[in-house]
Amino acid sequence: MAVSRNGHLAQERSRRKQTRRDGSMPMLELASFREGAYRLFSQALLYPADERLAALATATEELDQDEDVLAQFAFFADWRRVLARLRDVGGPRRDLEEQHVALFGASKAGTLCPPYESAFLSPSGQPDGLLMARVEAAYSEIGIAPSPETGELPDHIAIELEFMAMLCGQEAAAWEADDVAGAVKAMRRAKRFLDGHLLVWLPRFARLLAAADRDGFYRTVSEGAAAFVLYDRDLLAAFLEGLSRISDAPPEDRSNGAQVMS
Amino acid sequence: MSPKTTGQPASETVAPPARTLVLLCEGLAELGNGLDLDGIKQSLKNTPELRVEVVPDLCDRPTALAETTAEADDRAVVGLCSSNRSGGEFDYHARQAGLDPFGVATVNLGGLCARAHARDLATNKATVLLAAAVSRARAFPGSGPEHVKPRLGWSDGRVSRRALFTLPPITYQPVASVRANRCISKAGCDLCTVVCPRGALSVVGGKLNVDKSACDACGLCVTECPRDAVELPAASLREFEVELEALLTAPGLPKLERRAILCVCDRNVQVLEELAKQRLPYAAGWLPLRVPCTGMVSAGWILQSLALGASAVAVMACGGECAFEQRERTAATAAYCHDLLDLLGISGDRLRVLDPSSVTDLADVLNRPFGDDVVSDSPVPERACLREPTATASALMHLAEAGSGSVALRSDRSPLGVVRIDAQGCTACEACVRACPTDALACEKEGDGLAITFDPNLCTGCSLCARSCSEDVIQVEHVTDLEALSNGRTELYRDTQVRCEKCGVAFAPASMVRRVEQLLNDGGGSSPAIRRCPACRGIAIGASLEGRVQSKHQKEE
Repeated sequence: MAVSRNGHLAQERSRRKQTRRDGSMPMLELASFREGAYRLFSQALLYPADERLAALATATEELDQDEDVLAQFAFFADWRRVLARLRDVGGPRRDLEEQHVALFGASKAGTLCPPYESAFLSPSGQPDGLLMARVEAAYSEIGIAPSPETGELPDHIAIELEFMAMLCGQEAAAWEADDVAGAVKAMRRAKRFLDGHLLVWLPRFARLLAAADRDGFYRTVSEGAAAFVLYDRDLLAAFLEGLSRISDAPPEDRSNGAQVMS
Repeated sequence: MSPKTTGQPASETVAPPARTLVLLCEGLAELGNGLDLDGIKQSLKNTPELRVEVVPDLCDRPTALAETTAEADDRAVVGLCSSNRSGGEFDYHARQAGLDPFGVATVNLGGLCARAHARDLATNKATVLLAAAVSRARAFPGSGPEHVKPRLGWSDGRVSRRALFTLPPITYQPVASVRANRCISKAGCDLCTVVCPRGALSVVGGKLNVDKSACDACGLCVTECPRDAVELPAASLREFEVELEALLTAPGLPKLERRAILCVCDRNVQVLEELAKQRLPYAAGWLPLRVPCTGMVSAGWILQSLALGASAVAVMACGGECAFEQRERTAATAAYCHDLLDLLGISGDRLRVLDPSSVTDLADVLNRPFGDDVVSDSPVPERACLREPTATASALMHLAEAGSGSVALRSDRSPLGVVRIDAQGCTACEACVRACPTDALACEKEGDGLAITFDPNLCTGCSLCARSCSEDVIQVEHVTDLEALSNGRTELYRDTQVRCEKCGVAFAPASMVRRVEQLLNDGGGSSPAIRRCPACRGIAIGASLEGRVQSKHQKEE
């Protein structure tokens, strides 16, 4: 799965100035921000390799410029808390590596905070084939599969967040191409994935991490991600609910690859 | 500046007061009869952790909120010239300032004070309202994603397809959420689901769920829950309690010796501004307590206000259509309170039900003089308690001291109930004790004795105990019985515990053992192990089975 669309995000920065004084905001701009945010959370929860930390620092710097626009959203406080923590990421890398291994690494006693959906939803707490297949089926709906290079299972927290980033990217591309149906389709997929996967386990993962990592980097990131995901789900729900008031809104699409109005 | 809200409700341990900023629009000094802003600052100066700033053009310049808020400020109270708050703009600037918008209280000091009353009265009233708003803001525990839902400001009516390309202005509305550690839906409690006018609450598989899209934040579930298990940002019982206390007890205000509480819903509060606009004077002692819907004002709120020293209480129900269809509920609550006050020998005029559809009639009712009847010689309670049934029970005990000593009022609107157990059929199985959401029913064991006890001060009359009783021997009556309240916890049923004939441990109530024996006899069976504890019974049954197997083998051989 590709993980770099930050260029697209940078291109959209100039468009953000379009935000009107009445608080309205182009959907393209919002989708691009959400793409960047999901990717930021995803990257922050992966192993803190040098190049990843450098990319995080760049992304944080870029997203940090959006304060004026983002203060209209309720997730702003949590978002600022995450960015404040990410700004410190340039500190001793060794500490972060040790924290990551201690929290997410396997040991004889098991994993302190397993970052996998299976660990929370499978009765055994072990990788679950059926559950994994469901996650992969969601990925395959948009024709993607996790890259073997990541070395992670499909239900890893970072892979699921990256998938959300890609859906937001698809939505942004659709808005840019004036393709309302495509954008709405991506939003409905995103909401379904949040309801069916991330929202079911990410809050529990964040609580577990909060107990294990009392004042650490990963606690802040996971709590921020859990809050962002819930706010985002409600925002998608409010937008999609509003479609019922639009005479020629795209119809609900529940099947894989079904055609919708263009 | 770092954000200051945690997204987590504050713990209930006593914490130092949150540092609070009070912003006053400079225009208030000249509006109507004007407010003495320096006098207000002076009156509030001894409040700990409080900073008061007067800001030019605050009403038209919400940016001032972000500009004036300091790093250390956790909460803010904004005093404005009118109720025309600039929509989500204050929320936007609150977030920029690192404040939770639901923790920013706005007070319409223009409409409620400066335009409505003479300058000195208006200044005193404004000080009380600000002190109450500060208390309420400080009691706000913080909000998180589970407490809010977005509302998109698409224009009314059909929206064009092009409109989809732009996210309209967004505001956030509070929604109910559940404190899972307090909720006892698993034990069968569904009181909040019954009262919700939107059907937003449901119990599925013993778990209480909130449908965010359906919730309109009326607050009825907050009042109805006897365990304070429902959260609603800026409308928690604790916030209302401290606001009520401050409204009635904020010191140093000689001009407002007689204070009265006016419970008014958010949709109707502008009616008070309308009185001022139409130059219809009313007593300055009427202090508004804003609620999402007056349906959430229970009898306990009214009685607690009177017990805390309010000269009167008024409830302004909706004049036309109530958004939550709670007019009947509000009227029924008032009728119950009137009956109760009558029985206590307290003037019914101490509770006034207001109809906002005619402002002149409204002014007439508000201008009726406060009575002189003294309610109680005992000291005013220090703290308000709005959680039922304790709210009604404790206020009633206070109010009754000056009135009749024997009061029993049967009413469907009674927040209190009385439980009776038919001793002939009870087996002391404790199912009722486990089902009781308020611990009104308890099982006390001492030696071989066992007693089911009942405290009417804690009973809401919810009938969950009766529903849980397999022997159908519990009756619940919605009655406010002063004598029962005075008696406190009493014994409803007494029994002894049977000791195991084998090991001697006490293992079950005698009535339960007798009932099981009776059932077995009726079914034509019996068990020699019935008077043994579960462990010894298991051994006995195991030995019996083994004997049968051996006997069978011997026969086969």
